Formats: sequence, structure tokens, C-alpha cells
Amino acid sequence: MRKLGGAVIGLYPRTWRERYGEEVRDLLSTRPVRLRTLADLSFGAVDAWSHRGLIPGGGRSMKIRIPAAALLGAGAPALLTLWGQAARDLPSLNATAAGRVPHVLASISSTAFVAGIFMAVLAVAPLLVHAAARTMRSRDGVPVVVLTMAPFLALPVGFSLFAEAGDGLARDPLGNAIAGGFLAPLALALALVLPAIARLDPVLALSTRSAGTVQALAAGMTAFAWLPSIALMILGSPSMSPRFLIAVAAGALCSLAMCATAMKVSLRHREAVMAPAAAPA
Amino acid sequence: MGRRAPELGRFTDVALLVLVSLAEGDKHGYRMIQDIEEFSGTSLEPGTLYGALMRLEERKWIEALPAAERRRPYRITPAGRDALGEQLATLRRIEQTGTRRARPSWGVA
Repeated sequence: MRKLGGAVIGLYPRTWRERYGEEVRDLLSTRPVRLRTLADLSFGAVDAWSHRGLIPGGGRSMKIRIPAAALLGAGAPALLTLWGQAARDLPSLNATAAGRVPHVLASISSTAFVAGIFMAVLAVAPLLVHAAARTMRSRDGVPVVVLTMAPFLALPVGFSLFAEAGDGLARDPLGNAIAGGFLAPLALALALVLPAIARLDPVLALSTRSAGTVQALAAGMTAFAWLPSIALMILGSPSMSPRFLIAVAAGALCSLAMCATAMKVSLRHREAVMAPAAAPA
Repeated sequence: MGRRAPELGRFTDVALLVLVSLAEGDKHGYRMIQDIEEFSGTSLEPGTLYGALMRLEERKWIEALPAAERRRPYRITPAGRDALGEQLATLRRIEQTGTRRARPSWGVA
């Protein structure tokens, strides 16, 4: 566990490691390192990357800030276009390499993509219950907007889940696995809308915060699911066309960028609704 | 600190604990975790602690002292003490209001 902890420190930005790396390594060598510690360090790495400008001595980076909603909004049609290009090349899409390993990889990938979509959807369930309970007392305000928006978002998200879980877009293991990588970020982006609205009402703070945590994990799960998909692509690459490979590689990059953005937005939803007073663990 | 600064975000609570700990005297990360656990019962993990230290240093509410071996002590600055005082005053107001409202009352407010 201690070694794993040291490896997670390697995920932090270089300026952060130069400034705090030795101190944290020292802490890990003197305290028990548990799964909770590794999860905390992993969240810390995401936080350090997304707030690099705050690292003392790191200097303010001259980066152009693009709103997350614009990134997710532009990513969705880009992903669908790239999927359209990839799906047109059926021989490449069905080029799963022979043997047991590719089928296991495809199964891991598809399951992880489905789990990512499920988590993103289930994350908003407590929020909807909370909003429904509030609406019974008062028929205006943010809870009503949340409940009104839910059915409109449920349709495309449900389609994504059905298509990925039910072999709706491709029958071959490779095609089915990578289809998830194109669909899951769309579901993630849509599922973020409800917590984004709910965070405007402090009454829904608790369920918005839990939705943020679960959706950040869903984004992480979706990003992880690309690993076996990429391995599958490498195994089958000799029989795939260059055009197909380029479309899927661009799709993977776009999908991962959307996952990273979705994770950042989810963590921001969590942060925006934290209680002001210190609470004991 | 009384107003929720976006840079502190989910680290607001931890930042308060760190400032309270450092108000007693300079401490390095390991000692801070022990102290915070003793006075608040909150067991901090390194990722959360250093996320808060990074933000507090950036706001100049704490400053790093020269490291001794691998451990670097931190010190609260005058601006940090002011921010802590402001936050504690806010908490006192919340505590007083909460205590008053939590008392059993008769009739509708």
C-alpha cells in the first residue's frame, strides 16, 4: 500500500511534487496507508492538476479558460461525428483478434462503460427524490425546474444505456466496447445538468453534493474503461484501416477530455455546496 | 474566510482546522494531523491536508519555514490570524442562533 501511495504522488503536477512531494512521502512512511488514503491522494492529484495556478512557486499559467459547458457541448457532436466515421468501416469494426483475451478485454470495457453510465444516472436519483419532496411543500423554485428537466434528459441517457448494455450499436465485441466510449461521455454530460441546476438551491445541498461525488467516480470509471478498449484496438490493429484507427483514436481523446471535464465539473458541484462549519469525521 | 472563497471550496472546513492548529504554534504536516485529530476528532488524510495547505499558502494565511530533514513546519501569518478570528466569530453567531432555535418552543414561529 505504501508503494502504491508513492506511485499516486507521481500523478501530481511536477511543481506540486517539487514543493510538497517529500513532505507527503514522509507522512506516508510514518502513518498507516489505507485504501481511503489512496483514494484521498488520487482526488488530491485531480485537484492539484485542476488548480495548478495555486501551487506556491508554480507561477500562474497563462492558460485560456474555456467554460466546461462549452467543452462538453462541443464534445458531444464531435464524438457522434467520429463514431459515424468509425461505424462506417464495418470490416475494421468487426476486427476483434482471435482468442480468449480480446473477449475478456471487451467484456471488461463494456461492463465499465455501462457501470459509468449507471453511476452517472443513479447519482441524480437522491436529488430527484429530494426535489420531489420539496415540490410537495412548494410548487415553485429550483426543485420544480430539476423535476421538469429530468424527463427530457432521461430519454437520451436511457438510449445510451440501452444501446451499450444491449448491443444496440455494434454486435462484435470490439465494436460494442468502443461504442461505449463514444456514448458514455454523452450520458455523463447530460447527467451533469441536474446537479448544475440543483446547486443554485441550498435546500438541495446534501443530495447535490452526493451526486457530485458519484458523478466524479462515474467519469473516472468511463475513463478507465478506455484502457481495455485501447488494448483491444492494438491487438486488432493489423486488420483495421488507417481511417478507422484515426477516427477511434480521435474519439478516445475527445471522450477522455469530456470525462476529465465532467469530473472537474462534478467536483466543483461538490465544493459549491459544502457546509460552512467544520464537521468532525 | 467568513465568505466562502471559491479557491478554498471543499477545503474551507480543513483550512479552518489547520488555522486553529497553527494558532497554537508552528507545526509540520504529521504533527498537524495528530493535533487536529486530538482537538476535533477529524482524521485528515495527506491529500486533503496538502490541498488545504496549498490554498492557505497561496492566500498568504500561512507560510512555510525552512525544512528540517523531510519535514517542513508551517506558521500562521497575521492575515491568517485575522481570517481565523473572522471565521470563529461567524461560527459563534451560528452556534448562538442554533442553540436559541433548537430550544423547545410552543406555538408557530
